[in-house]
Amino acid sequence: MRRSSAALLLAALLTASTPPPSPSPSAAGLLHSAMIAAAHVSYVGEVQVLRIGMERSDASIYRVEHKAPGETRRWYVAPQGLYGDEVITRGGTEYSIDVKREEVVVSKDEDADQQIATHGNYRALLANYDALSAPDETFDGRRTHVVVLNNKFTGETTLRLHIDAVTHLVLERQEYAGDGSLIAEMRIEQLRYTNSIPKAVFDVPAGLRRVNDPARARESSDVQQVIASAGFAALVPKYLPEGFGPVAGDVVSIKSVPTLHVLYSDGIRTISLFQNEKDAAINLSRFKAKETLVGNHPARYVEEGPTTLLAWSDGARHFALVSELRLSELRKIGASLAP
Amino acid sequence: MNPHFSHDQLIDYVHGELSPSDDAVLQQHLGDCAACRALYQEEVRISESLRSYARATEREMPAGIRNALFDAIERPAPSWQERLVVWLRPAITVPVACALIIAGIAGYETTRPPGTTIDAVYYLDDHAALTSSVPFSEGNPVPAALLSSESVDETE
Repeated sequence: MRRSSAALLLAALLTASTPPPSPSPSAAGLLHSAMIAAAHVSYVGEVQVLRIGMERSDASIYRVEHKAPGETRRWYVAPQGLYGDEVITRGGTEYSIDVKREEVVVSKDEDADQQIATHGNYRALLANYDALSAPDETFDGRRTHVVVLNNKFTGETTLRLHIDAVTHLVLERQEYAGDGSLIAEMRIEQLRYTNSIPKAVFDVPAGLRRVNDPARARESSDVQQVIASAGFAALVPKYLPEGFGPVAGDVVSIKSVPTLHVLYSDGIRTISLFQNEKDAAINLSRFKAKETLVGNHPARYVEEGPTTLLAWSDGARHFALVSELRLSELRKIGASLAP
Repeated sequence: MNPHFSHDQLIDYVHGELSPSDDAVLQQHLGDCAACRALYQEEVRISESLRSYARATEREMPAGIRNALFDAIERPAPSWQERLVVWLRPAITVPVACALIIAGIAGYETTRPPGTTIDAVYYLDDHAALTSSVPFSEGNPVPAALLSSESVDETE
């Protein structure tokens, strides 16, 4: 699923039943308007995305051309390995254009499922977070409303959004860890709202090899049905941090091994649980893995930016947890997986 | 509207060689000026064609192979007696015998059914893909499809 199409789909779901924002919108109203803004506003600009980890950070910069409601082109300027690559989104289809490999990876979303998953996440966000207004600020020369999302269970600020006062587009997004440190930031600069983006901008270049990307095409929000279709006795965690619940899942065959993936979310933070029952261990050779324990089972983990991947086996199944939560939380979730 | 930009400036823009302020001005101008935009798109097409052609035709022969080829061309061909003497030297026959023994052992090892492994990159990519359904999520800063090397053979 993709960010831009997610916003679009949510817009379709919510606009019909919601009145237009008032001149002085509440924080919750602003959040709603911000989520659907991309479906109404066309713009060009440069987006910087930064994710900060304990040992490593990831950053990318891309030029963006977005034509409402659902056409977006991202043209990567950095990192160097992606320079010139593009991602074009048209409705529910995304084309990732790799100029070095001369190929286009095509991903298609199941719109209905994504709509429900996105809506489920939004409901979880409202249930688990208090939206508060902070004083307006100026961002890159534009007046912005500032909305802060505080976790209802811990009281910690998790998200801070700068929302354009006129268009309600999110211009800056900052995500914080439990200790208050910044773990992720997205900002749009050199922004210009325009409706005159040529249609050709969203054309996929001809002559490139096309590769379908089935792995992420059929996720479903009916998690119980997904678990039942895994083909083996999958386990569900008996412990999850407060506010977390299952929102989406899929079963993918990797090297002929059915692998179940369930995404748990509290509306902002996420946990992915992968499991398979065949002899298909995780290959961590590309990473600097460290050793730990999950219950009594030896485990290994890697940290990629703010994301931690924890992998282990209980003898019958192989598990992997991926999340931005702390390792101690992931070990606790892992230990609660029992028949 | 700003005055039109020169062809050289458009080329510099395509290759990211302009200063940030000039780059921003030109980017804005392209949104308003159909003539400059047409020139810009033409320049992008030319650049992409040149890059594709360069990638398609680029072949670099390793220096070692090149030197060996030239040596072989310049050296007179040995007689069959000379070749036989070279092949029967212990310096050749002993390593060849060892290599055959090692290859036999390795061949035996590889006939065992290998344990399947799944690249951790797949898990990280799929997590980022599903996470993008979270409100205001920016997903993975690096697009998974552009970096992943793990192939998925079928979906259930």
